[in-house]
Amino acid sequence: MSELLRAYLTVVVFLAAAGMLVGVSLGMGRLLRPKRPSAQKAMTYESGVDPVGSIFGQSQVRYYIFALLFVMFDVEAVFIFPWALGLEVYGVFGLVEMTIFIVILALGLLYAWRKGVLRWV
Amino acid sequence: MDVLSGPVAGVFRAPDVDYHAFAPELVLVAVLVAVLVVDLVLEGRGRRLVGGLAGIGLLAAMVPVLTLAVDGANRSMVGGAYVVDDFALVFKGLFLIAGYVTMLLSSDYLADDDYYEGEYYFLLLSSVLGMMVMASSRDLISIFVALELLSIPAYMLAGWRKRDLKGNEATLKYYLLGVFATGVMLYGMSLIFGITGETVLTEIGSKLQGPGASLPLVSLGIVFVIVGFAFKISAVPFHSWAPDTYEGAPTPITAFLSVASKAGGFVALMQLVFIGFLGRDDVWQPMFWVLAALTMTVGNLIALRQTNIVRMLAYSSVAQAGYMLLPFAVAGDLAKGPGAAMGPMTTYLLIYAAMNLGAFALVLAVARKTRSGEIASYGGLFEYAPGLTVLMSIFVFALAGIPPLGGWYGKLVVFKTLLDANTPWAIVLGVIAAVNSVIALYYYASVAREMWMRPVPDGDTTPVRVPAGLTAALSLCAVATVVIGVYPQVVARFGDLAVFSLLP
Amino acid sequence: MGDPLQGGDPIFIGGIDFGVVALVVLKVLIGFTFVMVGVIFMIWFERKLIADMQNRIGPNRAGKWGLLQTLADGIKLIFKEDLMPNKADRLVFRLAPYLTVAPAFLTFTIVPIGGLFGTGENGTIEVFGYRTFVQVADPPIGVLFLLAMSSVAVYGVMLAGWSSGSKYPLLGSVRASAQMVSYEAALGLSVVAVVLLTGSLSTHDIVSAQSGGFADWNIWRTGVVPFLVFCIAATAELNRPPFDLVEAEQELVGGFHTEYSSMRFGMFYLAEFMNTITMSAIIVTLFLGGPDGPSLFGPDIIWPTIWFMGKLFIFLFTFVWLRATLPRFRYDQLMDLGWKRLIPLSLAWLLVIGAIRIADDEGWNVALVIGISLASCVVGALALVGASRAGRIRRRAEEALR
Repeated sequence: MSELLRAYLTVVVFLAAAGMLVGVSLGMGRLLRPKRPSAQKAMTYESGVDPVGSIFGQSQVRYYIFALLFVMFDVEAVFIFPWALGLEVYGVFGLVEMTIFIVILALGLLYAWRKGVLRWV
Repeated sequence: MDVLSGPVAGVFRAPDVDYHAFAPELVLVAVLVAVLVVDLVLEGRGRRLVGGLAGIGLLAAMVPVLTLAVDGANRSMVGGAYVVDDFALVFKGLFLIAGYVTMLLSSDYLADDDYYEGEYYFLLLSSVLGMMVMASSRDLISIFVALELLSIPAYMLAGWRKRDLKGNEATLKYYLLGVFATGVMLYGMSLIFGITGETVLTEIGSKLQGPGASLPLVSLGIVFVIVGFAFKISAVPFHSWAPDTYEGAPTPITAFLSVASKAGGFVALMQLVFIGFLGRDDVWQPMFWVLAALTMTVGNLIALRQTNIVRMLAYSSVAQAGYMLLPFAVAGDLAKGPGAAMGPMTTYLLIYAAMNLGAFALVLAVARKTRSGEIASYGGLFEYAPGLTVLMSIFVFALAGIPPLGGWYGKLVVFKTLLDANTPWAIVLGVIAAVNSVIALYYYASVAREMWMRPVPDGDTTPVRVPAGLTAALSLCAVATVVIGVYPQVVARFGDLAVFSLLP
Repeated sequence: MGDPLQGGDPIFIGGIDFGVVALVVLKVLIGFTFVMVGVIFMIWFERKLIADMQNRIGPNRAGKWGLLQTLADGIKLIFKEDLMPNKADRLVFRLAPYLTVAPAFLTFTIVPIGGLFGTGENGTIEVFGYRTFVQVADPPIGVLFLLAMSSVAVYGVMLAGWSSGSKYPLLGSVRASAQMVSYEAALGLSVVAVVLLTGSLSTHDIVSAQSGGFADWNIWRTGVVPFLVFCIAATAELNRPPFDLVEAEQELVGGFHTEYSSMRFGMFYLAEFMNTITMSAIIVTLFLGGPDGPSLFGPDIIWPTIWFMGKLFIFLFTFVWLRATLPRFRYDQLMDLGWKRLIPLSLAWLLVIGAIRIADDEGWNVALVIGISLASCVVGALALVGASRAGRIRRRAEEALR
């Protein structure tokens, strides 16, 4: 096992523990709980009436737009974190570059804002 | 805490930035941001202001290009990944002028309908910026970034007419095929990087001349990269997007795509082939031979049957790309070295830019009255718009390569390259090209026949009103086409400049 | 400390033998118990406290003061019939609870829960002759691990809602995903401020950089703003009130887990409270010095853990308090707060901190730099406010015309 991976050994063991917790409690439930299926029980919930129409319908497009915006800022984080780690190494040059980078990204946000993309109604 | 213990440990030295060399791009970026901000603040009310700002910005970016040209020194930055030399400057100039002409064509076109204007100029400038970067990129990564920067705005511009079905088709085809081609190209680049371990083209060039260069994987990488750019320059069989996109996109954007975007593709190809892949002409030379022969022939044959002027020009520009590919196909056999093929290509590109932009400008002008793109609607144009008729004749005959006009010189230098190579394959290719020129003359002349000899289809002979911007663009292109035809030394000089500085 | 890229935990320095593995398992067990007991307590605590704040009695039957209420709930859930809608995507439906619980657990691994910092021991204790950190694991990418896990949690919520094949859960899950990704951006950007000061992503390094006492805590060193942003974003990330639109009963029935029943539902419930604890622990770690605090009496080694628990408790209490006090946001208000306030604010703050650090380094006039950067932030903010107000006025005018 490489040096790098060792640091994650505990994480993996912990993940196994978490998986076991879910698995064991669900398994226990499977052994203990009653099982009396019926057509009514398997119906999806729709406030008491029979479900109408297709389930996988379309949802509002704005969710998608926000997801796109999120991608923009998440990718931005990819560049910001290395800079933050080496702030003093990169010095003034890094600060200026990052300022330009952030300002241009902020312009993108400003654009979305002014065009009403961020307006929910 | 000691910051140096972070993962960036080691000595960091800020790269030396030669601001003079970057000045054209910096000016463009500043204008780009300004255009966006002004448009946002005014919320679409400052149409004239935004357009004017963008136009001035393009001209302002021309100033550092000129000062750099006067200075004449080759500037290489970031370990040779970004080079400003005469080659780069010639093409930067071309891109800026093509962008400016597109801007002239667009202003009235946009004002006529209810389009978003601020974004239009913003995207156009971004695309031009991508081309400028492309002209200086001598590194796989920066070439890729430049390609994306020039393509992505172009995808959006192609679909600018949002509610127009043809516009949607145009942008979707362009986008999907473009992304696919980019993927193929990226795969090729990764193969080449994987084998050479370099991204800088000069390093790749020297590695590909050493041992291990003959690996099949290298050939595969080269083929994939060339295929990616063959899409960009709409070479057959990667041309299928071009006619639909050209027809559906707003006409100024069609002009832009067919000139600037195509030139961007050629610039990248020249840099890749003549610096990076120079040692492997056994791979790319046959490939370009086939591409060139197919592109000319298919483009011209399909153009024959077109009834829509934009589609005809689209196929004609496909065919023109075929002529421009000719020097590639014989570059390895030239006595003066493969680099001698670059001069003719650059020359042809510059001439092509002038005449093709002019032709599209004229289509725009005529469409303002006829509201039609059919060739039949040009019937009797001479009766009510004699000036436009003369101009259009200049452009189509220049495209066909009739001597006193610009196009003939481009054809001449290209054929001369074929003869210089003097191999059987080159001669065969020359014959194919000659036959194609004759075919092309037929459909170019049929436009002229329509204008001069046919009656006006609907009898409406009110004169065409050409707005100032369009007039400026038309006269610019017409003057350039005629002057180049009479004094070809002008572009020949540029073509020569572009050769010598690039070769290692 | 070893090479930072290798992770700091000295337990692995001598290679991996049986003792190390045993210790790792022990650490996992302790961490696991800590979280589970914490969750059991938290569920009871929340119900009891809310009841008190609303003048009710709350759980009082199972055990003394109803302390065993959570266990009783758990046992009840196990005995319930498990239903799966016939339109559900069966595989994903079963997978979603795992995806929700696992990140909630894993985030806790990077939290240091004890150990004396600021001394020669630097947060390590000696167990069976091995030196180790008092935290389950110290991956070198610490903070990024936190962000990664909160991203994975979005998958759990999204897939749970989608796979149910039902309308309310689907709506709930798209809402939840949009909300969580929106605030994740703000969350990430406010963490960067901490990373800027520490120069390391490891939570252990972050804590030991704050070990100089109260004044050295990141909450002060980063200038409070990132702390506030982080707290707000964390609350939204947890889908806790006042940001609990995901489970707005009046609109969405139960939100993304409407179709879940029995222990599968229990898992979502568990994960929710687990996330609350973990997120509070992360806030303590990043901004409040983690286990840092003075030793008062008795053996020194117990005090860090006591301080840690004390700080954690304050946040747990605050979360419940918020729930009892604040009404729910509207969705547009929620998105506005995230995108138009928190993100620009944390971006600007980031640059200010960076400028101050660089100014300090280069020997510039720090006061001047602070003044200029704050002034430019204020100008920027005013411009934004002006712009949005102008836009609103214009829109109103247009609407009036129509």
